[in-house]
Amino acid sequence: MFAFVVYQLKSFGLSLKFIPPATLYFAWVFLSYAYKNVPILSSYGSTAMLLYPIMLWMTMALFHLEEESEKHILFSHLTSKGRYLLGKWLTLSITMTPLLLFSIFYPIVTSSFKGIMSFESFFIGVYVHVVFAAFGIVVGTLFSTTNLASKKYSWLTAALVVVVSFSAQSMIEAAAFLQWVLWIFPPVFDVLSLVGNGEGIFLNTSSMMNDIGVIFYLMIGFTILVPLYRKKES
Amino acid sequence: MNVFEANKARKTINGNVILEELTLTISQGERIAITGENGSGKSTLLKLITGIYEKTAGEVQRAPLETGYVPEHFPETIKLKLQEYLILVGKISGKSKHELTNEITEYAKRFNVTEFLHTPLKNCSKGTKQKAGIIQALLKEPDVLLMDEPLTGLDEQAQTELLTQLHSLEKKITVIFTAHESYLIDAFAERILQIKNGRLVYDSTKLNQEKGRIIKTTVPTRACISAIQAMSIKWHGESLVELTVSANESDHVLTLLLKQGCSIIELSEKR
Repeated sequence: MFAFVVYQLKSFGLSLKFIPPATLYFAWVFLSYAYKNVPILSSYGSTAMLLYPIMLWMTMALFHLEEESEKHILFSHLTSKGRYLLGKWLTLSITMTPLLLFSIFYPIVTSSFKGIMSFESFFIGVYVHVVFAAFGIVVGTLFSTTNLASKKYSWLTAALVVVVSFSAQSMIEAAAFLQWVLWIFPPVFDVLSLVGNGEGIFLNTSSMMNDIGVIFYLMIGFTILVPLYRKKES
Repeated sequence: MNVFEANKARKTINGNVILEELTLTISQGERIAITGENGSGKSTLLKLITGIYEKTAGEVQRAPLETGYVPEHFPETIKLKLQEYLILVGKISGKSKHELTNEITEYAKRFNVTEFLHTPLKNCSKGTKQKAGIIQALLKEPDVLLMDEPLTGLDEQAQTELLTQLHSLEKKITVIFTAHESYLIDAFAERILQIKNGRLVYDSTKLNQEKGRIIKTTVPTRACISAIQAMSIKWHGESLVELTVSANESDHVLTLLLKQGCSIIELSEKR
């Protein structure tokens, strides 16, 4: 598996396809901290939110890296299609790490925050970045490795999912019945409520329920992707 | 031991039936050529045997063996250098870098690609890429080697080298390949499968096949050949006929035809 991840990282690096999303993300982080004395949690929330479409972009780029014949050769060496998917996810986890570390530590190093960083704020910061990156990987995988990937408008549909995720709350406020449909989209606002309500809420009961819901959503998401991927590759 | 078994298997892709009513058993150590026209389903059958594809209906069973796969067209977009690529895929299969370096040097010499070892694959010629495809499969030392049109793009020397490599494989290794060219089929295959419109229409062990000869002749009357024991008779118009006869009987048949005033147009070996 390690060799496959190295193979993926080298191929992805040489393809240069990571440059546009990574550049956009770094630029966003620089802009977010162009001014000093910014609030900690909402700033982390803003950089974490962008990690969702950025990791979706990275995921789709990584899954579209190989031609069919290259993928078939890799299947034969990996001896399992499941390992291929797992290897891709591991590669994405490694790819997201520098982005995540940069957006967490850049404002700390440049003393951009108003007030002193507490352990809770730091933890929430890391948590929201990881969760938004995971949303991107789930949605990106859905539109790259399942039967939805072969559809003509997979990139557009994936972008639409991101837009709907961010506008879900407004849509539900306008038409309450939509909550029965929109639960299927990543629960962006359950995560954002953590950074929007300030410190001291992370261990609240309602907040805990939200967090459990989000983690459950991601676990179900990653689990469902495996048979959908296997179906496409059959 | 059976490497692959299919019972009335069907494979559809995007709603199109590619393979149908496939009943086939492949035993360990067999050397099989899959033939057929373009689009007949040869590559799909090969991928079904490898496990790249799964059946849509029917039954398919594969032995849990290591498989090496050579695609018909080696990927065009790999930017890694040839040696780097081979080391990485070899490592994925669980080999050490040291072991791989020695083996790659040896295969590179045999397939005449040493000078391209440090060239990005994307910049290599089609033939070199095809050789890379073969080397990566051989490096794996598979129990079952599957090759999709392995001679495509290979020069004569590489074709001979591939054949030498295949002959040097242990007898227990199963080799299955698709091919249009008779070169590899005649020189290596012991069993031929023919696919037509997704169906297996011919399956024979070449060693057990009766050798035959094809006689093309013009006849004064159709009655002239009524006494001839032929494996098949094919008429082309009123007086031109193509007879397939047993190799042992061919001299006798030729004498008979000449005695009856027939004119021999062509005599050839049946493949």
